[in-house]
Amino acid sequence: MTVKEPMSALVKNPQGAPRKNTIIEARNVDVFYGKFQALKDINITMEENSVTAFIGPSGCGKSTFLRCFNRMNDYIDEFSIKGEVLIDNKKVYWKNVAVEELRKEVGMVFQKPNPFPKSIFDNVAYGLKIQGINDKTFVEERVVKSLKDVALWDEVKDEMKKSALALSGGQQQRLCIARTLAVKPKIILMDEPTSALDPISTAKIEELMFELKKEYTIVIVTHNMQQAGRISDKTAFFYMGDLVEYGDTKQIFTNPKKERTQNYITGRFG
Amino acid sequence: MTNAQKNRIIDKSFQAFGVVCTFFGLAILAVLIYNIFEEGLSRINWDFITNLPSRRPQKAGIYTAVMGTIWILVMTTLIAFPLGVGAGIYLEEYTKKTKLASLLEINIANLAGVPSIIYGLLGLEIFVRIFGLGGSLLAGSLTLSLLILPIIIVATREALKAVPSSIKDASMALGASKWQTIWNQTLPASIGGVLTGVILAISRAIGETAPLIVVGALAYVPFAPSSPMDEFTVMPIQIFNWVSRPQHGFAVNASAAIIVLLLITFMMNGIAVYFRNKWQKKIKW
Repeated sequence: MTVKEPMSALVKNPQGAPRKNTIIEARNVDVFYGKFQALKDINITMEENSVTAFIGPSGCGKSTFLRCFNRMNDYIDEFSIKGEVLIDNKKVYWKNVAVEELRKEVGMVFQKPNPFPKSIFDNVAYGLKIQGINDKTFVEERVVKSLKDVALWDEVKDEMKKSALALSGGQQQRLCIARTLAVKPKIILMDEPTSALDPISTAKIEELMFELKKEYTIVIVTHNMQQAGRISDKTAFFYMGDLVEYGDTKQIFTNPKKERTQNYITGRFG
Repeated sequence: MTNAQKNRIIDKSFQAFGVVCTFFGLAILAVLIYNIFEEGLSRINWDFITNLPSRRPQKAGIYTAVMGTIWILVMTTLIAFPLGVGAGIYLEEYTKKTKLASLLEINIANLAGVPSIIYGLLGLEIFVRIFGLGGSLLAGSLTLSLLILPIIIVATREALKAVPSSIKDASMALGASKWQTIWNQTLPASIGGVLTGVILAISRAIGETAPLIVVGALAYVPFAPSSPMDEFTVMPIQIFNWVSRPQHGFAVNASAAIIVLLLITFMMNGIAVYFRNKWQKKIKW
């Protein structure tokens, strides 16, 4: 990001012991749609190279919160936000932030696979193209690398010119992830990325997330409790705009502190 | 008679009524076209296309009218296409959904229904008198552009609206600016619809007579126009002029000119249909 604000140094452990850096932080975040308050006083920090799952019933505000990290809420009329969202200690909602630059750092994968009606190659190269990168070999290398990273390369390497719309749903979603990887973000936001996919495609994407975690920070919204349990390091449970509980996934699923979390996880409501 | 039988009779009679409705218009159109072709087809030859107007029907041609129509067509396209598509993009992609925006929207839709003679009067006052363009091609094209702008704007917006927002979201989420998203995703996906609208609007413009007469297009122009500031005539005015003459020869000329004009509009509509089909086939979401 091209923020000229003085930046505080990266968070360091005073003892000097190796500790992961905080990459996402929210301080007292309130979100409103007109008069309706969608999020209430959210405070949370997320570490680099971790997977954080947002769970909670529909309408609890978890997708809204996810979209605060790359400002995809900007296009909703009547959207307003209070408090601060920090990525790499930089204010996301600072008025001088170039939103386009922010989104190169914070990629997003959507609920329904949404490839462009273009060729497979053009889909993955799109993010580079709009940055004005025309170096052919560089773009090709990056496209191939991204497709390999999502384990799609072997399936599509002979038909890069084919329309992306001809791929299956699972392939399309992996293509969308590859497209996001191609611009080398630090963070990948995933908004229910497997809810439109069959179990086998879902398993492939979950596997992929283990790999991606090594290089990227992942935040995923999911309605699938088992999925949250399998893939995430930390889990945040949202309910009616409140962040009810946030902690290690293991603790949330085995020993939640709040009764509401317990009820949701065991399927008593939601 | 049972209820079922009664229902079947009603059903059949409505079907018959539908057939009559459908063929009523078509039959009249067919008679009209037959008459025109019978009278005018034999008159069409290369001389008819390339001759200047004349007092003698046998020598008269439609060269100046055809050239005027082509000039008008090209200039109106050049003026109305960027303005209409630009306004459509702005209204659909950039404006927030405020009360002012919906007021604008309603007004533009209403403008599409304003009688063309009103546009002619507007053009006469603004372009001919205030801007001092006189009865020139430029004044005529500007007036016709005003006439078809609402149609192009509405068509552009409809075409843009048909592009799913998920595509735009994907583009924005990759760091594309609004304009990059429009240029790289929204417009390519909707260009078929936009072009269809533009072509249909322009084919309407070249059939217009009233506003051009008001603006001052002449019935008799001895030379083909050579610059936008020249005086001009167009095919519908030429036809109108010939029809009102007493000699039978001019009626034949009018029929022949109608055939040529019909061919031009059919061709343009054909192109529009071609674009629409091509576009629908290409994009399946």
